[in-house]
Amino acid sequence: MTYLLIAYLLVVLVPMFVASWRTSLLGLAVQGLLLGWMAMELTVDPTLTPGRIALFAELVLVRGVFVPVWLYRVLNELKTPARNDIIPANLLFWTIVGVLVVVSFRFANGVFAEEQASTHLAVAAAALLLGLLVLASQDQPVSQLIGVLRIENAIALFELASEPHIPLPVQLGLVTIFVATVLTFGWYLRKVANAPAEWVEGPAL
Amino acid sequence: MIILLIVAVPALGALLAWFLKRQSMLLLVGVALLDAGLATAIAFGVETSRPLYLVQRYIVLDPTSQLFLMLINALFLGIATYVYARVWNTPQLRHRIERFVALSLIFIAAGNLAVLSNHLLAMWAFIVVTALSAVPLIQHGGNPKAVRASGRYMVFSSVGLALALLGFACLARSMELGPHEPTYFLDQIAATTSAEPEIWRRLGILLLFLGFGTKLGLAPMYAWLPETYDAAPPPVTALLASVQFNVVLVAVLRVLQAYQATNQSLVTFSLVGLGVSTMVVSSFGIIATRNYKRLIAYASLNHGGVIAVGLGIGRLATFGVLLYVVSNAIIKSILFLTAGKIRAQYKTEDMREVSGLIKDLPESGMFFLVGTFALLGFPPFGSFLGELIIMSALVSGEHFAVFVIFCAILMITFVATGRSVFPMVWGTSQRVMEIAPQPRGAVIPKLLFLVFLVAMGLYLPAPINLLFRQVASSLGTQ
Repeated sequence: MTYLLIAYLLVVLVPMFVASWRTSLLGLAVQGLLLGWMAMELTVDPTLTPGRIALFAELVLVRGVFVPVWLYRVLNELKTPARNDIIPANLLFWTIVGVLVVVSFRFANGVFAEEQASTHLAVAAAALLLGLLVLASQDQPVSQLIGVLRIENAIALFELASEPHIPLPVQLGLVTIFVATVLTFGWYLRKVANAPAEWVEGPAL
Repeated sequence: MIILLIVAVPALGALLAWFLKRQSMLLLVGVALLDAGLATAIAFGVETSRPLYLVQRYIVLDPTSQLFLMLINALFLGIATYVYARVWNTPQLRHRIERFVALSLIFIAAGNLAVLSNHLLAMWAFIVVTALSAVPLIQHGGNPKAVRASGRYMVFSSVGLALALLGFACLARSMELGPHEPTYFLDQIAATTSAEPEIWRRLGILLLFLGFGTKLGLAPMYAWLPETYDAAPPPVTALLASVQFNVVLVAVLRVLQAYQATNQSLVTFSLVGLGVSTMVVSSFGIIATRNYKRLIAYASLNHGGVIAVGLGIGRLATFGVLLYVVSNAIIKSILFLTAGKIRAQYKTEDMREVSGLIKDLPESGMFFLVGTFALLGFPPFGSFLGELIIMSALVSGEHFAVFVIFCAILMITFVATGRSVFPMVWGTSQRVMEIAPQPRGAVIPKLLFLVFLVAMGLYLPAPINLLFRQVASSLGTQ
């Protein structure tokens, strides 16, 4: 399990230093697949309940495949320039990234004595803080969308440490809403890209 | 059955709207009228001395849901009537109106479901649905400024609600450590919580306040609110400021109902902190802005801060907070709908370019003036009584430092708002304008809101008073 958590941390960190939206989407896809893998590793009872199937489907198919593929198609269609910073490319922000990771591990060490629980919390906290850093430092829609999705994945990672206790209808509702949120973001990206350069104001509601 | 109709009717209406095209406007008013009637019948016709549970306990009807269903559906009816009158009198506004109607109906159906939810995660999910349906509503009309604002709204909503979701996950982790099975059902949560200081529960409560606080426009994540309220069409701003605000507030009240009794010091610390910092930043905004829609938006922020402080103090303040919340929702609806008319007439949002409003547009001038008085907490409005009760609770609870800051900020807000608004209303007319008559349908809802606003400050009918007291007692009033 620990090696999967370290892999997750690497997948969160590497795209922060590569200014390309394709790398960011690839990072999100690998995050989803790793989440699915970790969910399998953490499963004590191997019985496939509907709730468990819904969880794997959400992590692997929705987060790992659908979201990155769909956003790739939208961004490709909009001819989005390949370069896309998700944090400013300078030494200050790279240091902040390092500090946030260290702070997360320190915090987790204080909360849990057991190594795996501590690493799990540390990686989830680091992923969350780095997602917030992306949002705080960028105002471009693509970067902000990536920041939001990073935060969503960090929360999913955090939730994996708990026993699943959400009723199936609510779980399905949450997945549907996650998909609807991503679709709305995609629609918004198209709307911004196609906004008229000049606007003649008419009567308004 | 009648309880579920309040959700089913707008949900079916949303489907029908796509087929009815321009006639969907009638559907909007019809559904809003029916829902307001149902909400009133539910509030006064269903006895809830013990909460009523439906649909495998996912739905709960108690005084909190009764009060807020009535409030949000009454406001929705007013806003729907205003939209109908505007579109009826301005044929250019009929373009894609069926989409506006369908999304508005999805918005209110999800809002009603959130208010009725007994499951915290389901409630969270319905709040997300209101946010998702609001995004295209903010953009309605296609103004690039509104498109940008909708993006900011979406990002802040997503982050705020994600933090709230993380808060729920922390609470679940806290429950796992105790002897009880983790649950998100409201009626079972109180039994799982204890007074012992425990990191996951404390972190969970903090994240919930921070996350839902983002949707309420509380500092530090308030930046979306002035921009969105300014750029969105006035009825959509009214929907966000009056309806969605109260739907999210219900979520906060539910958290308080479950956790306030055992975590009073944490609740006071976090809500008073968020409230006071929001009041401080909003007062800077009120002083600096020259845009009257933004001024109302900053005043809304300020009100959110007052509500957070009142809820954080709890006890005696709770009744005042409820009075303040209801008054505040009505004031915001009146002011934002009136701001729409002023914008349409003067073609500007700059306060320095609007003068002599009471002469140029007597009805709008009157609404703007009275709305501002209510906004500033003048008697005889409910907001005055609400603020007074909150302040007396601050003194009786010996929160003297908060009381001093609270009064100082209210005074700054008072002076800054008056300085900006009164010349707008009473100044000399600077332009010769052709005044477009205001349709009756656009005036009547504001007039009814105003009557109710004054009535709340003077006399609360016994059944409404009882509802307020029941909700206040569910929040631990002593």
